[in-house]
Amino acid sequence: MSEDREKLKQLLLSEEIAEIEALRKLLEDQQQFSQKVSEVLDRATDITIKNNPKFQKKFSKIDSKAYVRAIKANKQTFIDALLPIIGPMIRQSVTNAIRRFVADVNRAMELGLSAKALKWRWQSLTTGVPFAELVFNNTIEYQVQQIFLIDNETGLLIEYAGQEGALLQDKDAMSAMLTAIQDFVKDSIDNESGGLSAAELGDKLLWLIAGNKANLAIVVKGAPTNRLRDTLTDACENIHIEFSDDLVNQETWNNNPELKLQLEQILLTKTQSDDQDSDKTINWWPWLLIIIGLFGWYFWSNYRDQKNQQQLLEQLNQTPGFVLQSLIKDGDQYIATGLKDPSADLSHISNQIQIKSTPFISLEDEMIAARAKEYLAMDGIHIHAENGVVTLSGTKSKPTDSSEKFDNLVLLPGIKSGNNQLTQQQSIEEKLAEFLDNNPTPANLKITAAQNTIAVTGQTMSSLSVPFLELLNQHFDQVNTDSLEIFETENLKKQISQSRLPMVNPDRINDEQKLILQTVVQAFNLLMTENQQLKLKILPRSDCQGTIEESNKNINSRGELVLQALLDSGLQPDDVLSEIVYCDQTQNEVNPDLLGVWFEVKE
Amino acid sequence: MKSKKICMIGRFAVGKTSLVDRFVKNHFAEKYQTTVGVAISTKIMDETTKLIIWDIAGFEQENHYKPYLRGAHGIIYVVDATEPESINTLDLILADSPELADKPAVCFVNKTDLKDDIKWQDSFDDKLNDIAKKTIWTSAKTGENVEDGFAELNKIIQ
Repeated sequence: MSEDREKLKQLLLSEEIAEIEALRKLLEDQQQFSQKVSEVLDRATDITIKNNPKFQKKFSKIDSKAYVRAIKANKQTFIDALLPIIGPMIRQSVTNAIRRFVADVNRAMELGLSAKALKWRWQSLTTGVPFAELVFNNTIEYQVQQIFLIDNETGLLIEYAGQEGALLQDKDAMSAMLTAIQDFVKDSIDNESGGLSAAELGDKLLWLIAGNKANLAIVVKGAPTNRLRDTLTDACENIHIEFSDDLVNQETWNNNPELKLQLEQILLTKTQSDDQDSDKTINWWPWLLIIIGLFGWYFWSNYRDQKNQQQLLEQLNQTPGFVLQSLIKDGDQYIATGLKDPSADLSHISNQIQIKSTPFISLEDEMIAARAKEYLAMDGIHIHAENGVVTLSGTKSKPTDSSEKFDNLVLLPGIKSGNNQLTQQQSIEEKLAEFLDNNPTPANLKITAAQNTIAVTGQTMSSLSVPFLELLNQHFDQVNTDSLEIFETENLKKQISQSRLPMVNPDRINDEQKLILQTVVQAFNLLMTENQQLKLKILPRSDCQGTIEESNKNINSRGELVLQALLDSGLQPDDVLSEIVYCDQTQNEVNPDLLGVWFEVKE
Repeated sequence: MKSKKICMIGRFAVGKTSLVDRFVKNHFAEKYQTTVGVAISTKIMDETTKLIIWDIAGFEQENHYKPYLRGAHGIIYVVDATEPESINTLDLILADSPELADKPAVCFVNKTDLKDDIKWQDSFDDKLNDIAKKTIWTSAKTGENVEDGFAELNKIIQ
């Protein structure tokens, strides 16, 4: 049964079976199948894209990871491919950067140094207008600052060029607003003349240049010319010719570097000097000033260095015991190489100099003297050396101070012989004795000498001691008068006349009264050192209370007691006078203030 | 990033500007201020799309809104849930600008926060379904569905 069916199938479908077999072979043979598919692939793609536009997007998707992988795997291939493009671009970019830098420096110099710039700065200070604004007003005729290329129909931004930071609004919103304004003007005010073509925005100007598919909205600062408008209109037309497809393809809007570059080329600036000296490329004056300044600075610093070096050279050459061999500048420092005597003093040399020395023995007179001084180690003596002969002068404090060392001086290098002119130093006690022999000591003064100081003690009258002390100070460096009391004549006389000895009991003198008497005697004795003719007058008194006889008796008794006490204190009878005033009438009241003895000094 | 032009259309005082303010600035002003001409706002929706929203002054006779509709990628019709007359205004607009019927559109039924004042009939839904692909109940005051409404239109116009 099945065999019959197979035979029947062969008879009826043998051609179809053969075709199916051929097709299977074709599908299984990959090379042949690929060949066949490739023949229709191009047409099939076109039909697919036509029927399904989204299909194309699958091919236009960028797989950034795939790119990175490809670059990593074929680094050299990419380098080889990009080098011919990047090389000239870099060169062009560097050239442009240098040109811009030179232009910027030129401009900066012009704005920084010229009288014009100073005038503008002054204007800016006095008027409050920003300096940049003044520069712009005075140097820039106009400047195209921003360009919007806007689709006519939707009002959407196709491309933008300019400083994005200067935008007050989102650039897309601005494009839409500009379109809305234009539509409003066109629709409401003037539909025939093509709508709005210019508007003023503060100190800026907005130009609208209509195109077939897109409008150019341009923000210009300054005073643009009609020529600029023509240029921009030409640019708008060129854009419509060169980018006609891009203007209708929304996929490329806001992401079209070529179109952006085209717009950036019409960000034009015209300076006021462009017309006058358009052939002028570089302003040489600032450069000339810089070069002169640099030369000036170079020569001045060179001169200063030379002068400094000359001063250091002189300083080193004049230093005894140092022989300069070379002086080399090393940065901010100098290195001095030379021979140095161990006794040479280099402390005064500037700290700019670093000394590199080799020891040697100098035979200069100053060095010989310094060496001798170091060896003798004696203070206060003067050492002079000349042609190898050393002379010592001054005073020595001890007799044995230098004799042995002096004898050995000739053993030192450079010393041929010595000349000792030292004198023995006098002690202060000896000097004082000699002084006192020539100048007698005033009475009551005690003069002593100890540890280089003269001490003057005691009590003395001013007229006697002052000339003596002046002489003493002239002869001695240190005179100590801290313990010396000097009195004036009138003061002492006054002191005595104001002294009163209260004496209620006329029969005896107590210890307290004795002390008062002693003070009076001391003062009188001092006065006597000045004038031997003086007399101390005593004035005994009574209050005359009671009987006259008794009072007068008491007066006499007080006078005698005080006189005796004065004589006992060392006064001579001739030195004392008494003046007794007796009572001639009695008083009723007791007055202790009148009971006592008063004193006076008489010549 | 692609820019898409969206136009807000509707009777005056239905809340078009408030919806835009809520969506762009997340802000709602109680005081009513009428829009003169058109107000433009922008909002970035995602990495690829930026909406340029044209908030067109409320429809009245004699106002010149038609130029602003040119080239719109999408339309948002706005009606007032408390004012059925605002739906009739959409009829007038569509009659005046029949080309709008071909544009992708959504309809915002606004002021849903005024629950006691809502005057709505089922027939209104049918009418709006004829005009727009989707009807979304919104409140600019509370922000209800505003973001979602704009997102919905963004999805439709892609």
